[in-house]
Amino acid sequence: MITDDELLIAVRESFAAARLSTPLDATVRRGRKLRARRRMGGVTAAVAVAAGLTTAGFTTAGLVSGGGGRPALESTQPPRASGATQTARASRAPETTLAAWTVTKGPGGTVSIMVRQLRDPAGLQRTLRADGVPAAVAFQGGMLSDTPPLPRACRNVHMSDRANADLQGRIIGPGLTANPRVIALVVHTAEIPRGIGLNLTVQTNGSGYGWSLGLIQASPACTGS
Amino acid sequence: MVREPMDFAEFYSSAKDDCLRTVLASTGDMQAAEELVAEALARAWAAWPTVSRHPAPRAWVVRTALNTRVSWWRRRRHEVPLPQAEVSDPRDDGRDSGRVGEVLMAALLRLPLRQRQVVALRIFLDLDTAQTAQVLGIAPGTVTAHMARATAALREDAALTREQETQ
Repeated sequence: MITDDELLIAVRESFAAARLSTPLDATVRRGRKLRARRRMGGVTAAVAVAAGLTTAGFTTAGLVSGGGGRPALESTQPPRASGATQTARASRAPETTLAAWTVTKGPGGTVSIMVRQLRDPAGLQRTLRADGVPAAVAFQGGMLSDTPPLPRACRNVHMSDRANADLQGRIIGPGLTANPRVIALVVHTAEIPRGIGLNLTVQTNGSGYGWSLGLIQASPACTGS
Repeated sequence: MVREPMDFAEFYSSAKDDCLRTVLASTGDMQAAEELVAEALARAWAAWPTVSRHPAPRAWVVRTALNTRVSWWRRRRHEVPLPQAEVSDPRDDGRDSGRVGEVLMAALLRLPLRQRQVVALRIFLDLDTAQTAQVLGIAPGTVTAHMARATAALREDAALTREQETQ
């Protein structure tokens, strides 16, 4: 039986490979621009931070997490469905199924999505909708700069940027895989308000992949219901 | 002022990775965490005379990074360059040796946000209970409770991992 300290050390060490690659000189260059902007009367970092803290309701020494993604809840369920071949070993470990994509229902209305290959987006969309996620899903070529705008007829979501960000943060959280080739997301269906749907686009262009998410209105035309 | 660049460089070198890991633990998004921490460190440089006197400059950077995230979210985007085109089987890329660490990272990210923040502040920034409580604006007893629940949940996941590893 390992001690709590040993457990936390192991967790800490699991992040050891995460290192900031931004060099100091690049940081200083960016800092100089920020400082110059402040001196010119622009938005200062300090004011922005203070304003953000006030809005978020944290103390002045607080750790702010506005719009942050909610964590994935532990899943005890086998994958709900998957694209292509599936070699599931029923488990809570998120990487134990191999398929183009996998949808797994978890406790508390969570739905975990893992995309490994860009195949059968319609199947993924159907599965998500069947699991209570009003979603429009697309797989396509091109990277994020090529992401089409949200469908005009579906983007009638009236809320502030802040509210939109907060809502996204409650609805959609990152799943985690250390494998950069796997896209992992968690949807908290209980947080999706009536009338709101998700627009999920996954892209690749041969040099990488990307995904984008946006909130759209839920309707038969936009999200199937 | 003469000491400022040296002080910041020293801080940067010693803090950047732990700040990144703390933000990563909160966001679960490596690319976003890197961008956010880089921006927060630049803001720390720009306000270094103030930040350097903050009781917990690393917590300031983490707080700033996560706060910055709010303005980047209207349509959330995530882009990852790959050495090859396909999104493929994760077991084909020679990263199996990192599986235990990956599972532990996943276990941490499955915790509720507040528990993750408490754990991250403790293990990456070495804040004690009182400091963690101050940073999060919650009572020390609440920190202790979050830490206990988080540790129990992590232990359960770690046990599962060991079981799977031995199968």
